[in-house]
Amino acid sequence: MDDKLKIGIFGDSFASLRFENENPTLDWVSHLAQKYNVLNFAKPGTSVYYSVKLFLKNFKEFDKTIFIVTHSSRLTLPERSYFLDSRGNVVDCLTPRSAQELLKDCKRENDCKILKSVLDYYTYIEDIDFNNYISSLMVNNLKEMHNELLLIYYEDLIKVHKMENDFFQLDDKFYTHYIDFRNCHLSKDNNNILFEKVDEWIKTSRFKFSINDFVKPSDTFLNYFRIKK
Amino acid sequence: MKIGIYGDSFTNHQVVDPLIDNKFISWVDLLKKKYTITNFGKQGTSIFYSYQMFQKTHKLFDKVIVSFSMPVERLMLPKPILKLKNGAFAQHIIFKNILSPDEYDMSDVYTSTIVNALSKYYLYCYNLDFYNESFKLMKEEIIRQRSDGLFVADDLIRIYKIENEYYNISIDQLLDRRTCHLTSKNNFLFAEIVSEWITNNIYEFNKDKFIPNEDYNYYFK
Repeated sequence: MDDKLKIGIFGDSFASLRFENENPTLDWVSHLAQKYNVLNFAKPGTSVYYSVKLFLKNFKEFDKTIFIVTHSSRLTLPERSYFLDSRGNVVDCLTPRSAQELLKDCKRENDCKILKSVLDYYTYIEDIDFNNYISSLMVNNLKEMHNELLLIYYEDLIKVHKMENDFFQLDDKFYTHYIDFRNCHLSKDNNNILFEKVDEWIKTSRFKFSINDFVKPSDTFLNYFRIKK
Repeated sequence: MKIGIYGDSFTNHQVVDPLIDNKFISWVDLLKKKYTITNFGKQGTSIFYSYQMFQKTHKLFDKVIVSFSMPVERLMLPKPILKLKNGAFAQHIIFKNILSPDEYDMSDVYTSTIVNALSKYYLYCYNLDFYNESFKLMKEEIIRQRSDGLFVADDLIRIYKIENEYYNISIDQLLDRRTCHLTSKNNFLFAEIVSEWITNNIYEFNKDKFIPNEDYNYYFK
């Protein structure tokens, strides 16, 4: 019988974005999976509500859970509007950026209508205060449900990501020309550091996140970025 | 003693009928005669409106009375941006009504753009489960923060249904002149039981006392 601790992970790309072929380095979740019995529910681009639903359904199965609290503005589509992107992935949550990107390649009329309505939502309807309040209420509710829960906030992770971007001198136009192959949006070094911090929490229940604990990447630009074809 | 009241039309609502001098007094206004009351209730508002008002103000009050009587489908927009035909601007909508937007001034370009965006949002993106969960969390948070409060929505809606059944009316067919959706008698009765709670912390609701006895024509046209 497997006596490893059972760890459940919930969240977005900061816990799930992986480029198996282009970047073979281990992300923090893969490090954890070598040591513990990990089940990863995270999916790129998803919302707090998406992860909350999965958490509520599954958290009792785990000794410890890790929840990446993503940006509060991500929109969770109702099931009737789920559709497949050009690579066959189910689109169930959207941001203004992802909606814009998907609209460029959109072939099916109904999918395009959904995407346009999402863009209109962000232009005319979105209530940022409402989304922030609801996101924090949802997360507080999780804390009351599971004592063994680690919350890692998007705002903290994005600081590390941006610190790396500054190091590599990426500007606003960078992503129009290049593809970013950092696993979980972080370099190998910072994935290691994040793994160590999470591992420390699993062992001691102590978690400290400071941008000063993270480092400038030791790999070169070419390890992570390629020109778009 | 300072009392704060939060809610929608069940706590603050008066039908404006230019042909009739409306003399019906709401249960909240009756309480105002005896106590220092601030009524944050507003007709047509969503739970998020009450939630925000509550978070900003509830600590100022010795007692709070909250009515979660608003429908889940009622949404608050970031600003009052929808121009109504009467020239006023609306900040709240009920989703199912947005598909036949008779009350809005669609000649106003901005209003028609927003209404169009809202109807598409309702068709393609509206996630009722998400709004149900949000409503539940806001309600639970208010109750958690003020477990000493009085939560009256269930009883107010119960009275409203008793009256509708008594008068055999279906909603939206008539001009309904009931203040806070209750007959005059029931506004008085409800004010009495709330007053008892304010003074003695005893709240006893007996639905049988709320059978109306006033004439149909008094309230409905």
